[in-house]
Amino acid sequence: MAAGPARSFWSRWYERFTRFHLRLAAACFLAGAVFVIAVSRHSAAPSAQGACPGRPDDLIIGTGAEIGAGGVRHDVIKAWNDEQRKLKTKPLKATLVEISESSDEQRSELAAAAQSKRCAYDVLLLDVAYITEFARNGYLEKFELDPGKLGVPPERYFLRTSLETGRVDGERFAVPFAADAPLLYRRTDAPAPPPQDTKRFLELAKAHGYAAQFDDYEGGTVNLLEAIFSAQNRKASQDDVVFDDRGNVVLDQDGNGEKLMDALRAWREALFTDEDGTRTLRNESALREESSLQAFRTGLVGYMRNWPFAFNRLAADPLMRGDDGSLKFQVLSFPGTGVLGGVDLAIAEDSPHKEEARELIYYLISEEVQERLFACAGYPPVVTALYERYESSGTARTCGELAGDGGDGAARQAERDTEITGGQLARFAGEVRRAVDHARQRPMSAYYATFSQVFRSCLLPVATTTSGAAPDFHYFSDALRDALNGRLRSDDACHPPAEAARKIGH
Amino acid sequence: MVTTALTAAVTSVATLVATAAATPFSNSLQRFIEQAPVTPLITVPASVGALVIICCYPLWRGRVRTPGRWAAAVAAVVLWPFHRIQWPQGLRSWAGRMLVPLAVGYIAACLGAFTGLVGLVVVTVVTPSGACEPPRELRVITAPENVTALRERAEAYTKEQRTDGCAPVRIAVGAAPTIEEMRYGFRNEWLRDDSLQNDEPYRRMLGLTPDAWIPTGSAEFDLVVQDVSIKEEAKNGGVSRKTLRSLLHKRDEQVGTDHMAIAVFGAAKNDLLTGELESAGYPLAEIVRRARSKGMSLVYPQPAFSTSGAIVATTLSQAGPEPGGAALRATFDNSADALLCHLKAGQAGSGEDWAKLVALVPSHTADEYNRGGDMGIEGCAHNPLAGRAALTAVSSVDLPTLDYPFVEINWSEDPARRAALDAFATWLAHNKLFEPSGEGPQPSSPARISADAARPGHRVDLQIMIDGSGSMARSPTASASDLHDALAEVRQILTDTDQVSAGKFFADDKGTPRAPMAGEGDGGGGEGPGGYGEVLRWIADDRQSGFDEPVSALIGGLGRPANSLAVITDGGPFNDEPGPGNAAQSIRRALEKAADVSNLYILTFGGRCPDGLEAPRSVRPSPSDGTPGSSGPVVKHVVCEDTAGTDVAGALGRMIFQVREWS
Repeated sequence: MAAGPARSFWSRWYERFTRFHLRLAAACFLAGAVFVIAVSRHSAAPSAQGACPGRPDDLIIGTGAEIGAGGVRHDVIKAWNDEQRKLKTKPLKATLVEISESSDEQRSELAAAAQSKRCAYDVLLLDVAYITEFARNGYLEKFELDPGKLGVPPERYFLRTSLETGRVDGERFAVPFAADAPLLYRRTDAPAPPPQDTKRFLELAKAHGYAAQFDDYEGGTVNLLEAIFSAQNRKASQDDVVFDDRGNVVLDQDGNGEKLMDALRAWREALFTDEDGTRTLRNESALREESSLQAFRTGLVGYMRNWPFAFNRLAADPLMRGDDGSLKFQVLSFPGTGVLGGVDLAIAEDSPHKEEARELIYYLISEEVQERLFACAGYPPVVTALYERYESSGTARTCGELAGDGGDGAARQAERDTEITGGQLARFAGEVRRAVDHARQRPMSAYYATFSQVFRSCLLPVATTTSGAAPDFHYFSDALRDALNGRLRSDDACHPPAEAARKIGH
Repeated sequence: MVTTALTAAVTSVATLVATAAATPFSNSLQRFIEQAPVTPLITVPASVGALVIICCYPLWRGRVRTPGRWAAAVAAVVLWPFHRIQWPQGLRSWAGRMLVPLAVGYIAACLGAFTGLVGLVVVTVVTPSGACEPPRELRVITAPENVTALRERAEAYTKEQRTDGCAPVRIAVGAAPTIEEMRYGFRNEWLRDDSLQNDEPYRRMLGLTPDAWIPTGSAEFDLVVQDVSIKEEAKNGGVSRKTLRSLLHKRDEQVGTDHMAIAVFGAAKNDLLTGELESAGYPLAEIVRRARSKGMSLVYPQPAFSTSGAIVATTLSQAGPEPGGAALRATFDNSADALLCHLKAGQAGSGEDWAKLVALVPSHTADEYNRGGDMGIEGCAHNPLAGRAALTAVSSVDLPTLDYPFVEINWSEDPARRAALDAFATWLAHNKLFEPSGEGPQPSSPARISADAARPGHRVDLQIMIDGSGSMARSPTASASDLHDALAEVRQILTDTDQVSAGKFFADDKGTPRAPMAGEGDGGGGEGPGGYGEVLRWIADDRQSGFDEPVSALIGGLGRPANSLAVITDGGPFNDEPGPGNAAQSIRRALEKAADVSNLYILTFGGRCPDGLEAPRSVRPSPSDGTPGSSGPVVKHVVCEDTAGTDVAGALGRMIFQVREWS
């Protein structure tokens, strides 16, 4: 019944349709398409503000469980809360949620929380190895540093290498919180002299024992990379063996495979074969950070490669002190090129309290907080000025001095046997800065964990056993490229399927 | 009829094809939808459309009849306000000129927007970009001794699911906390019990927040969900209650089958597992009797920390021989793997005492032990074992079977996560974690766990004295904060009747010994959880500190000492004992003189125990119920443990475990 008038309506429309209308339609069509694309590209997911039912109105900081830092982190957060209570009528209470001691579990928990959009965290304390993954997957809010709040440009405020860890694809997503780079610990009560270079160090390590982390975990990848980097002159980019500065795998380029094998062979000869050359595997290949620390502490080895956290642990240990309170060990920068570690601060993309989170981050990277964390808990600072202050003679402040209970009198001195002195802190700071400056980043990929797994699956056997065969470098390089994109195409990343099958057959 | 059937068939096929085509892109499609700017995409076209209609209304009114009664009614209602307006002639003629251009523009813009949207979906979701889409994170927990097997299965599953090398899921496997902790954690967002934390600005999680949990047996699941309800924030701000059973969904399938077994070293197999016992089905009482006669010990993990330990304890309490004797006892180990790892460590010593230890553990753990590796424990790596050093696991008619149910945990309504979990659970049911193995009769009785059996029997009367010196306050591993957290963690191995008090000991500026106690002035210390809470609060809040005070002076100076005394120190006070190098002797003498103190356990963080004080008993056979850590028939016990790791809770747990054995 109604079809007649409707049809005549459309007929009239059609009759009135001119070239002008055609152009108009084309223009509007384009405008509509451009509008959708522009809106999709430049708008984030719906704001989480008010979209988090049941969430406590706190500022939640997701972090790993604190090991050996003596609750200093808690004190720092407590001080922030006290300050906020004075400044604001309705302040948000900052609360640390300690997830796990395991870095893998911490990553998994934070990623799952981000995927579930439950607004579980506001601020994330992330291992630098995972910043790229979290940024590219949209779990992090962009964070532009304000030079006004820092007092100087960020490039001058932070250690250069640490600052770079928070930048992904040209944009900043995270801010450095704690620097990290490998250090060499040497027992001074054993005849283990300081090494001059990597070659001499390997000789000394073979003679006096060396605890490094070559177990099958992320630490194993880092130690392998360091063994390879240390054999090269990293200043010259043409000497990159595994990947270049842009993260491209170059292992299958001319001669790089042989260079890698030479490097790993040298470390295997030094660390995992007995003096008489019988090539017997020693137990050191199964060490991790904590077991390395115990091996060094109990005098099983004269040298140890470890992160800066070990300094605080060892310095507070009466076993590592002489009768006069002096340290029985020395910290040196790693004899070669280390891998850059560290922890960065970032704001969760689904945080309902982004502004408050930003304020808290500026507080945590302030000189005052960084100095306290360093002197009292051994967290290597990321603020350049602090290193300069500690390296200037007589200006280093100990934890006790920061807490305002300066020592006086001989009786008190007895109780200060295990306190780290200003001089010790200054030397430690100097070595940490050198180590950080010379350390190199891991390849930036949202799938770094996959890369790490593939990398060590082929090279750990080469570095730690005499039966580990050299991989097919072209095939292995392709597997690494795939891994950087998150792909695992075969069980054996070291050899093509036909060759792998032949090996099994043999 | 035929048309309907055809339509249904075509629809089904189309759905299947669409599902199959979309499956590889499901993660990215969902991500695209989640991140799509829904508000501007809806409001802008709608607003523009409304404007067009309004502008065109003057012309439209009366000329076109709306097709359909419902549409006409809606149009009449919606446009009613404009119907009342007397539109000026100028506007009517303008609308007449603009009607077509506006409508054409609007329709074209809508088509363009739609095309743009489709293009974005194709580019974002379907077109390969080189890198894989981020996989969905799944977290699964299980008992520590199952973690290695579950990780292997999770890897195999992920590998099977790969498309073009990309995995749609990433499964993180973590160790489940204890039953007590889970009962609390499931009610409290998977956080540790922080009710005693006052205003401390930190919370600790119980490890990975699980999307799924694989208990060792259905009995464990039942115990966790039993009589527990959780608070749920209702949308209107009120609080409703629901049971844990609605949060935890136990699937019908089992994802593993195993049984508790008697694991005996090859070196001692013929001594214990005789043909006669075999024909009787290795009854536990007979096994224990024979073990005792051969100077052997049957050991099992700590029931308060380990589900398999709790299963053994329950089995023994219901049918088997009395636990607690030297020939049958729990160790401190928090898992079957940790127990076996200790047994392996024992083989490093001289002699063959290690062969006299027999473990009551899940059968698969003995297989893993023989296969070598680190069993998920740092420092436990060993080569594959065979012959005398390898374990033989036999079942017993008295030991139960273990089913491994798959429990999904619905923290939030997320259909995609749930679908991913369902797929993994179904796969796991067909690729089980464990299959029945081992020698001996195949038991059929299901495992049972009694909360009481997991609780130890002897009452503890313990006074914990913490070194209050300045160096101890700076300890990076045993600061007040670490001690507080560790003591909170070990609360689960205390019973309501245990009496625990705490205090500090140090010398003040003038050298006067001080020993302030928690809750001093109102009874001191605490009985049961409430009193223990008092102790924890005091440890967290107390800021008193001074200088090293000798342990011997502390023992002699205690006003109201408990039967057992625990001293936690960094080792500094040993240097202040009278007589250099004789700290052990001085401490022993003080203990002998203290009439009320029978047991002394010194826990040293960082430093070293004085020579002459023995370490607490590790896993080794005990031919008699004699005093651990000392020789001869003495009445008083004293041991000293120096611990260098960061596991403060583990060290405190060992301490309480040992004190309970003495009590």
